[in-house]
Amino acid sequence: MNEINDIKEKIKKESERFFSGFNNEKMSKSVLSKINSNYGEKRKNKPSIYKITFNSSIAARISVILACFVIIITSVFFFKGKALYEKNDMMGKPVSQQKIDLNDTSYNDKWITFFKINKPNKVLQGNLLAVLWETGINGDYQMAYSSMFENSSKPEPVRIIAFNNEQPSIIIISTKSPDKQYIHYRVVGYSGSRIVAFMEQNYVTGGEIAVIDGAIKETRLVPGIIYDKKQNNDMHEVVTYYIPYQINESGDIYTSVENLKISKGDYIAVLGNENTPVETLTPNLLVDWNPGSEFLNDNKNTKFFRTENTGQEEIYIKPLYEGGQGRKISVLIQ
Amino acid sequence: METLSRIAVENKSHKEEHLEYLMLRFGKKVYQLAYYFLRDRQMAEDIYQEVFLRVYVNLDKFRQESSYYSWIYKITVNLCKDYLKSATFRRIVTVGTVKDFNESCRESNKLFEQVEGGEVFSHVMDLPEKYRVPICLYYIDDLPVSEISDILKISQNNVKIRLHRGREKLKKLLSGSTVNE
Repeated sequence: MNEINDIKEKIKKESERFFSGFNNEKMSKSVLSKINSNYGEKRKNKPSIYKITFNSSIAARISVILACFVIIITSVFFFKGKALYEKNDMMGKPVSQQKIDLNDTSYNDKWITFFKINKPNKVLQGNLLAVLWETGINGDYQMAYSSMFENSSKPEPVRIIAFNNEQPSIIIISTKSPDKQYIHYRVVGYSGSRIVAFMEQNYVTGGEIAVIDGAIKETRLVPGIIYDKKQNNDMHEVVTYYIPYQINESGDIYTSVENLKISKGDYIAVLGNENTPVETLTPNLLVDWNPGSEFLNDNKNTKFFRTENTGQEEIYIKPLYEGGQGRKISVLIQ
Repeated sequence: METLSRIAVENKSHKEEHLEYLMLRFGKKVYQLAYYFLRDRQMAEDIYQEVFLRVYVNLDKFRQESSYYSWIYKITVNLCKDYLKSATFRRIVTVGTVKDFNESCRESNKLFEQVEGGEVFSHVMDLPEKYRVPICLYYIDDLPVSEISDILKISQNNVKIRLHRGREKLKKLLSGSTVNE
């Protein structure tokens, strides 16, 4: 240590001599010159030091590290059985939510929530999942009904059809695809103690849904009309009025419609939670109609009529059991 | 718009004046420190330029949490370390490995160091970089252990260890040659 301290002055003197040739003024001028040529602000031309520092070797190492990280994450998902394409933000992301009142005896809260959802086939379709929530015995929400609406982007407000007595309401859950010009909809209500779909309709071209005098007015476009024997490629507007009914435990029939005004050429369908006989009193105004599968959509509890002439007609929904009360609906065909 | 441009120009000139002052005060020290690391004048000059360009760019962001001196020295150390690790630096070697490069570099630089500096200074520069830098900062720049620790981002204990080992190695180097007065 003393030896070093002894030559410390020598080290300093020699280093001063060595560095005395350094021209600080010249160096500072070169720095300022670079700054004035926008080097310092825009850094257009990176100095060689940067090219040396950030080079392909480092980039390659970073790429390898990132690749290993991706492989590790992929392996974790693979061995846990999860699909890689699953994105949490596409599974269960709520799009809209609406509180509804079914006027039932449960007095529990009910909500309809629409979620974005994809099928597990790795194809992004932009589907919507509608879930009807109700509060259970312990107060927690449970799923009472759910239905997927394919290739739909826009949920519509839930429409509620009230019945004029102690019967619970029926709701219409629908979605629209404005760009593809079709709608999907579900008519949902109680069947016993369960909430079920009375009717499901998908890909209703040019579809519109409205509630008119307690009936569901559906408008759709169809190519040609077999009834009119006009087999052509033109799209025709078809209006169908769905009259919902419910049968209670006593076998009594209840409907949301008492009087209905329709146009000649429109169709009527009687739609219920159970399959029950439906008759008309005047055979020459409303005629039984057996539509194609695109109308039926596997909805078995639906009876269709087509309008034959104008006039006043009555539709009678007969009870299934003796002692049950039927219901009449007056229809004015204009 | 004209007022804003004028303010921008005035701000820029203040900044340049500030930088000029810093280069005047610390420029030589930055160059020396870079030389301690790299033992090459051209590379040390490159480091000098890059250090003060960075200082200029970040001058507005400098919050005076440390002294300008400490800040500038740290930039210098970081750039030197990056340069030493870089593959391009290694590719400068025309013959094989970095060791070979150091060998050939030492031969040519040693001549400069001996002629323009002196034998003792040359032997100091012959030390391995991890001992050479603390030795130079301590004995040439008169920096205390605490400041060396802060600049090199190593513990004070580590600085003392390196100083001790550097001194031992320097003793061996000096004893192996005749020192001309």
